[in-house]
Amino acid sequence: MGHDVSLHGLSDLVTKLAADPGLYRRCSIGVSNA
Amino acid sequence: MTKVLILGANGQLARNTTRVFLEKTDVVLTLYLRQASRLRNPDPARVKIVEGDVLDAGALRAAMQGQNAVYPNLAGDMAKQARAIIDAMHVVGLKRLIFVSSMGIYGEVPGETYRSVLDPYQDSAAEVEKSDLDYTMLRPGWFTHNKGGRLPDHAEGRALHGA
Repeated sequence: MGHDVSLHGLSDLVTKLAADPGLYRRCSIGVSNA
Repeated sequence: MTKVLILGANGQLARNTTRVFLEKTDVVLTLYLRQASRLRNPDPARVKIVEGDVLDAGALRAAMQGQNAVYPNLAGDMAKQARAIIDAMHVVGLKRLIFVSSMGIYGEVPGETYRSVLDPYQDSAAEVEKSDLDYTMLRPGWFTHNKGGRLPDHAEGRALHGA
């Protein structure tokens, strides 16, 4: 697994988290390209 | 209608995320930054720009009023800023925090030894994790500008996920 992450993918994830308050609630998530 | 406060709104990730919010959602945004003149309002119908410092408790609390979520983009003394954000959220009664940290803060990446670089991220993450907020902490790797990539399917504590 690489350690790079798409800026666009991370932004997309932030928008999903904002839309769903219960999504990954009290979680710490590592994010990288698969 | 969901309202999101973006702190440090002139950062690279914040600017990109603002664009994605506007393109893909109907979220109403408040962009909070120290020098408002550095940003052009991309959509005055949905975006409000507020000039302020995260360490200015009064201004921060005022900006948090009526919001549903807070999404900070921090630099500098991140732990101090994280404490200020958490305190203000408590006062205002806000719970949802989307906090961007960094890969490697738990020493979870074998061979990666960036201790001094990661200190601000580790210290601020500790502040967030000991709070009672409904936080989600994101720990990205190094940024690329690819538009591809996929999002994680599920959370597994502190493991790495594809995105």
